[in-house]
Amino acid sequence: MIRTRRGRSVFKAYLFLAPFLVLFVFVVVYPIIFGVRLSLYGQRGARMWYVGFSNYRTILGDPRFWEAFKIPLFLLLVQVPLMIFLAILIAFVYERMPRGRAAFYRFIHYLPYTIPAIVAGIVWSYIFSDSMSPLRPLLDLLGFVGVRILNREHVPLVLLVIIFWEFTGYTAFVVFSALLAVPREYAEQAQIDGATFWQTAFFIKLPLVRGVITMLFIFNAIGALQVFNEPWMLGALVVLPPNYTPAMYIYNSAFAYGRFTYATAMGLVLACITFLISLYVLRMASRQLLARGW
Amino acid sequence: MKQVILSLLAVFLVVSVAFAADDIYPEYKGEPVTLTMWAWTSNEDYSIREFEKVYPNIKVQWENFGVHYTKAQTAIAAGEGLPDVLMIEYTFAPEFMELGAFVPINQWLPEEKFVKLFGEPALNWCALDGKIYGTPQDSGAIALFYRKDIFEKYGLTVPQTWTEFAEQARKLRQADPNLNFATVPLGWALWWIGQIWEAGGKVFDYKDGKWYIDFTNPVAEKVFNFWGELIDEGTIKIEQWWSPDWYNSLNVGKTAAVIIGCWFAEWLRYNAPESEGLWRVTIPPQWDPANPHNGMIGGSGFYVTTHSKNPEAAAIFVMWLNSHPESLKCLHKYSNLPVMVSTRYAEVLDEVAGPDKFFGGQNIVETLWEAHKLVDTAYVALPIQTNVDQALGLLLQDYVDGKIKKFADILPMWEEAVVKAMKEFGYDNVVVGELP
Amino acid sequence: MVLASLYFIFPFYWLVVSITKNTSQLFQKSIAPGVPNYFLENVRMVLGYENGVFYHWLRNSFFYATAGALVGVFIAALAGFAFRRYEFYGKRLLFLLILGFAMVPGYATTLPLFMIFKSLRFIDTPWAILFPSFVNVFGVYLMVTYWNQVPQELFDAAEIDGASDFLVFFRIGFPGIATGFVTLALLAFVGVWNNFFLPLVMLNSRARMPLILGITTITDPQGFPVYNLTLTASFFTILPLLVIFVVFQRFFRPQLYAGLH
Repeated sequence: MIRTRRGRSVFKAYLFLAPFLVLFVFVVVYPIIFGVRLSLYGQRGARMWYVGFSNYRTILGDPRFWEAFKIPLFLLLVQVPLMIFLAILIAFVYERMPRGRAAFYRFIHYLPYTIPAIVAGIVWSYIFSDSMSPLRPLLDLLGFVGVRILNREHVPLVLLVIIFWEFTGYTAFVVFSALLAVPREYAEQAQIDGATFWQTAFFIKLPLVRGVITMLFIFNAIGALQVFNEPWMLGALVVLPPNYTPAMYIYNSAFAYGRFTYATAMGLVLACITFLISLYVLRMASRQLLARGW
Repeated sequence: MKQVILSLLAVFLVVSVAFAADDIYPEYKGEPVTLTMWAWTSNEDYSIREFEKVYPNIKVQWENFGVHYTKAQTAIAAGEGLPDVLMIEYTFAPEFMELGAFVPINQWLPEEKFVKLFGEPALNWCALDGKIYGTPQDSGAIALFYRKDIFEKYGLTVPQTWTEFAEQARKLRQADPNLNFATVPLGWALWWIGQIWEAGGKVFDYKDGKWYIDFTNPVAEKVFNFWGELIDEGTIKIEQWWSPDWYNSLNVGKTAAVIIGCWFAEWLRYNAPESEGLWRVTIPPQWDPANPHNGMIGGSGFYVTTHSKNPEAAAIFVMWLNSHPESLKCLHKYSNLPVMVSTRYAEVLDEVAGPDKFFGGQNIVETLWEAHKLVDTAYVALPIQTNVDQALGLLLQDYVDGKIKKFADILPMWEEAVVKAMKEFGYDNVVVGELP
Repeated sequence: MVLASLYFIFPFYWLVVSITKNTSQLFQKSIAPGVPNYFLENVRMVLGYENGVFYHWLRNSFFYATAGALVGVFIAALAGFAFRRYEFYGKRLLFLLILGFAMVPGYATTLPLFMIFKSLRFIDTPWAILFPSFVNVFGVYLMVTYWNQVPQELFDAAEIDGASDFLVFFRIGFPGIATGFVTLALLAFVGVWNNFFLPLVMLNSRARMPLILGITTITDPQGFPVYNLTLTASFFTILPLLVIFVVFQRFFRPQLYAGLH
């Protein structure tokens, strides 16, 4: 009895999963498997020749690949946790505000996410340009008269400014939409018991949406390790090495140097590293989200 | 025997150009065909329309994706997906040739005819190992663009030589430290190599199956020492060209002169519209005025790709597009493209030249044509242009950040980086320290 | 909050101001609208560019983004439901594997994807944009969390009533994840709308381009960007995204089942 029920349930589960899995295999898994094969080849133009694991050996000894991890690690340790924390705060502020005002702020915070990278690049390169920056008066006031706004040392900081601008609202928005589903009685009961708004928020509501927070951590970690657009757009102002981040090095190797198979191999190594780094959070996520699974 | 026929043909062509110009272009006897072409210049359609009138069996579908190298690289690696005709900058052409992107078209456009139509130097941008892959469209001949109003205000004279250039630059720096006489780009190898080319030198070349690299030859050192002195002392600033700051400096009149390829005239028209009437153009300063020289910054050709199913039609098209007077006129009229590489440009010169309002009525076409005629040498770019470019950019940024103290030191470091990159890309036919 | 809003809104403000300028005004130190005002001329230039190709691109973008977002999020909702509702062999492994595969950066698999699409003759067809858009991994995981918020009691009650699984999904479950669905659909819509790289590699004709790719080809005759036009076109690229957001705001209210306990 139990066995057939379970069997039916497996069947049904895969029925619901089927559309996604089929497409996922088609546009993600199959290209990756294809990519694994390609990564065993040397390549120049359309000419390819089998080299075994030589590409991977090259990667191990390629300092340019490993140097590229400085920025992603910085983002992983600083930007990701800070931004998610800010986003949670903002999401609670939305809850606290009158509905009209909250909607207005949501709109403002969502704005940056709609601005495509190429346009954001133009806008930010104007904001950080020495001759026209609206920040200039502020910087002069703070005593940075005549200091160039963008040199290579400032780039990580500038990246933070841009990434926070782009994704804080987006993240807050996702957290907020999850909070909407939290039963109101929980919070009301806690507040009757004398808890403040923020106590209720952090100790009652937040644990109820921890699954979403964990997911945001994972996807932001992937985003940090694959960061590309933001440093790329600063290229109009300051010369960054082609291997400033792993994704930039992969992009350059493939599309600028035409070394696609080497780039594919690096992409696979990057994915493995990402997987290992996020393994702990991943296991936590699967425990949180799949409470009844095995 | 073949040689005799070819030279007879050449003689015949010389004669025929004079009175039966249209005999140059072969007849197309194949099946009706539609060619595809990728190009980022935006008015190729007018020429195509003229072409289709002459060759009703060849239709051309032009697509514009901006700079399409990413797309092209993917298609090359995949072994399919390139259009019949691909626009590529001259400096990137050897890279694409080495990647096997192009197919030789000598069969329809033999070397003699190519030289007749486009001149000897152009062979270096369109051919490798005697195989011709395409035709050159516009010229990147260097010119000096300058602001007449700033020159007059500060009593500057238009420099004829580089010595005068340095004098004038110092003079303006002293008169008003906020103004730049000219700036040099942070990176952009094309520009720096252009300066060496303009001095009659080169830093790499290709001959008989070998790549030659020599950045530290006397001419290159002379050029880098010249700029190095001006930059080290603060007379000339390194600036990120094409950045907002750079646009700003050209729009508010913070920069008095720009040394750049002649296509820049059109750029100014679009990107500094309110400076109309203030700019003038002249040929670049010379090292030896008695023996003038020029080089190029930029310029692009149209190449027939290996993925083309009908290279014959494509060859006829690129030949016609970039040399037929009707086409040259269209490209000039609608895009102001300096299509001066073709020798047949002379036939349309009178028609396209004339006073230009943006340049205060100066007949810039004649000036630029003069500048182009001084380009009488050329060399093959390395097949790893991106790396050549990135290496220089990083070194210049190091200099700007204070990590390199003396500007001229950059030259040998650049060479080292380029030699290393060539090795990394598997080239074992590299000769370092000499040029052919 | 007001000061922080300045940070979020200023770049957008700059964009709005920029579209009233010509290039010369654009590259001067001023954050006030252009005098004289070039707004109408900029708009005319953009909309009239190459006989109104802008409208073509706009239509393409709407098609790709609507289809991509809706189908993608719906498929993700189905998958999320499976993870929430059933116990099945390989559940945890699948959960990790999907994420693991999603960690391979797109640039590394562009070539294989291109080759696969080439052999299926998908290159330069809408399918080359749509199929990748249908796969929304972030959506699947977020959907799992949204489904988790639907109270177990509801499912149990439906089961006792003998409702079929599809009925449970559509009638009982779906209203419960409506907010999540709209949130994800909005975000996915923006994602597909602003995806530059995929169409750049996969499409070969101007007529099939989405806006985001098209606007980068509005250049001077020699192919250099003309920034006042690029920015004006960008503004009209972003505008639909804002309108859609405002329209869907009304879905963001406390949820239907939030008071059921």
